[in-house]
Amino acid sequence: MKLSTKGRYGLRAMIDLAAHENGDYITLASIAERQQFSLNYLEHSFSALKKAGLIIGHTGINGGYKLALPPNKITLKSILLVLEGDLAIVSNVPADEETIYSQCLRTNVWEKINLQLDYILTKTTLQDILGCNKKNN
Amino acid sequence: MKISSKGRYALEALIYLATLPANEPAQVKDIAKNTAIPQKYLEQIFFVLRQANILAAKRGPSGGYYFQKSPTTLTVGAIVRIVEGEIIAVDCLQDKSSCITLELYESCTTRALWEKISNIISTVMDNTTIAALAFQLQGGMGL
Repeated sequence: MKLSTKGRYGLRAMIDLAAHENGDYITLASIAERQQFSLNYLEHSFSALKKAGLIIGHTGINGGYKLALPPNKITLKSILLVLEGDLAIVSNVPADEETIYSQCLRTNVWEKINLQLDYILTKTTLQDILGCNKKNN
Repeated sequence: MKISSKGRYALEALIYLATLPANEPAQVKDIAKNTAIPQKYLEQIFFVLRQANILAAKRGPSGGYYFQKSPTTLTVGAIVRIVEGEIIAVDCLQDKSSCITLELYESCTTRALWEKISNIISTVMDNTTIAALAFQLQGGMGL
């Protein structure tokens, strides 16, 4: 039960992008350098995040990326859905394969966890994470 | 970030076992049939649960598996830790050296979030026992 590197690194890269926001486009190379990720890796994640409308990309001399929305409008859920796919704690069991035992676990354990995860990831925005880290520094 | 079928099957089989009359051994093939879990897979899972002293096995024609520990003391979290490992969303919560560099570990912006998420998951799992799930299944009050 682990988050993928795509989810972990991608979210850190988004926080880095938000933290260095100054109106200009930020290059992937600078994020990769600060976060010590491989550029290849970031290119893949950022193209997915761009497709999802969370960031804007610009090519050319002063090209790079910036957030498509203010950081308080970008929820962690919207980012992680792009990077991790579905965020449920277990894979969905098709209804016709469900037994009374798997159903019992679903309603009493998995759905309870999913609800709480959904709540916290919907409530928390990039701005919240930035705020937390400013306080700590 | 998912609990695998190994973890789910272990829990489903234990809930089934907990609905049987106390200490009545059940055969793997019957458990597999009732829970729709592939028998070979279930045997592997039960081997692990037996090694962890959760289940015991009785040989012979009326043999089978039964609880070594009372299902009232067995939580979902304990079983998941036995068959799946620690309930943590990222390795660095347990082992700093799994981060790219120590410097990045210190300046990490997301570890607190992953810790919160891991805590949510383990709190729900640690507060639910196999006995409570079986009781609920048999028409007892909801959890």
